[in-house]
Amino acid sequence: MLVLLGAMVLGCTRPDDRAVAFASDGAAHGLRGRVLPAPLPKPDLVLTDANGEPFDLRRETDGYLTLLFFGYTSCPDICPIHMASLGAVMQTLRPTVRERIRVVFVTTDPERDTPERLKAWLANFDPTFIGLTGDTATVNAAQRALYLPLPQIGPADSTGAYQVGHAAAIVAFTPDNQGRVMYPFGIRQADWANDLPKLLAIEWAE
Amino acid sequence: MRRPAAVATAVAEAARVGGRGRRWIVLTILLGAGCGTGGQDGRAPEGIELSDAYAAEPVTTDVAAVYLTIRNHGATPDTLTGAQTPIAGMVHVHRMAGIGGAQMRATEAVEVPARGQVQLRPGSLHLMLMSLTRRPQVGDTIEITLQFAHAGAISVRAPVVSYLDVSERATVGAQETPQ
Repeated sequence: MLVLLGAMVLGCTRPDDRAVAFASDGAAHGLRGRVLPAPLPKPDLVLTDANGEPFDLRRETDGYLTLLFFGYTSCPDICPIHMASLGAVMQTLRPTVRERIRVVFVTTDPERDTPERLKAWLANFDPTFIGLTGDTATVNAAQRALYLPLPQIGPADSTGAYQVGHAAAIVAFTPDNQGRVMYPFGIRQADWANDLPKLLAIEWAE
Repeated sequence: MRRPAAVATAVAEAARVGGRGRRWIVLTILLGAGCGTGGQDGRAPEGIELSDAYAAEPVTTDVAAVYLTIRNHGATPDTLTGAQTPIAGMVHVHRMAGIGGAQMRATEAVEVPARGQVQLRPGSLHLMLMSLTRRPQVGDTIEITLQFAHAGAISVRAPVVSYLDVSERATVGAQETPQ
């Protein structure tokens, strides 16, 4: 049922492709994330960073292991849990590994997530995490290119607060700028600690 | 050769967190149903028991999350209809669901089956506290009162833990847990 819904939401998926999709398993590389059957190019995105400066994703993160997540700071569950986990594991990595990683948090709530707010919020987890904001069309195009479901803005309550539905997965781009592994919600520190050094070391065939 | 459709399927699969663990989660719930050990807190004569409550230390005063287990020892279903706490202007029950992740919905009511249980846990259901009067910190305790259609008001104390601690309780597949 969920698979069917997924196919409907994502459009063109044919049932036959499932066998191909799952033929590729992270276990082959000793990874705990899910290796994609074919790499996805890093989105060509120019957004605004937490200092209000333009940020060209491809140029600024070229050569880095880049962990890309779409979320928002008024999120009580998925987003701070992912960021806390990543923030903690970054402290445990050898500096030579840590220095080669960029964590990029793109807001799906540009209305409320100003650059200042993004910066302050991310600093709770790791001040090196990069917070980006931009117009909805640009951010949505990037998510579409990664086959992620698009954010859904929920209705405002009596206080004007609203929630934003968004993808729960983090996409890992290896230093060759290819998106290769997806990390679903529920991935823990130990999984990151296992995978991050490997993602910097694996030589990919494609 | 690239296979976009295959990639899309794989992304959807990863994003919505995999199906392999799902049956085990269902099984665990079935096994867990009706074998509550009796509550240290929140036990009500009507048969609703609240346990294992904890709150994530909020990053801002806008929003906080509380997780807990609701067991119904009774022979009739009950319904969680709302919640209140002195430290928040408003509490919603939220469910994270949908394809690909956190399609978050305010849930009007959550049914707790007879001799069954509902877990509010990371990535699935949680109580969302909004407009906090202060920012509770690790070591604090939040008193929260849940409202049930039959059992009435039942309170529970939720110790505040860090999001890192919450992340270590999160499981892949939580979003697929049928409720």
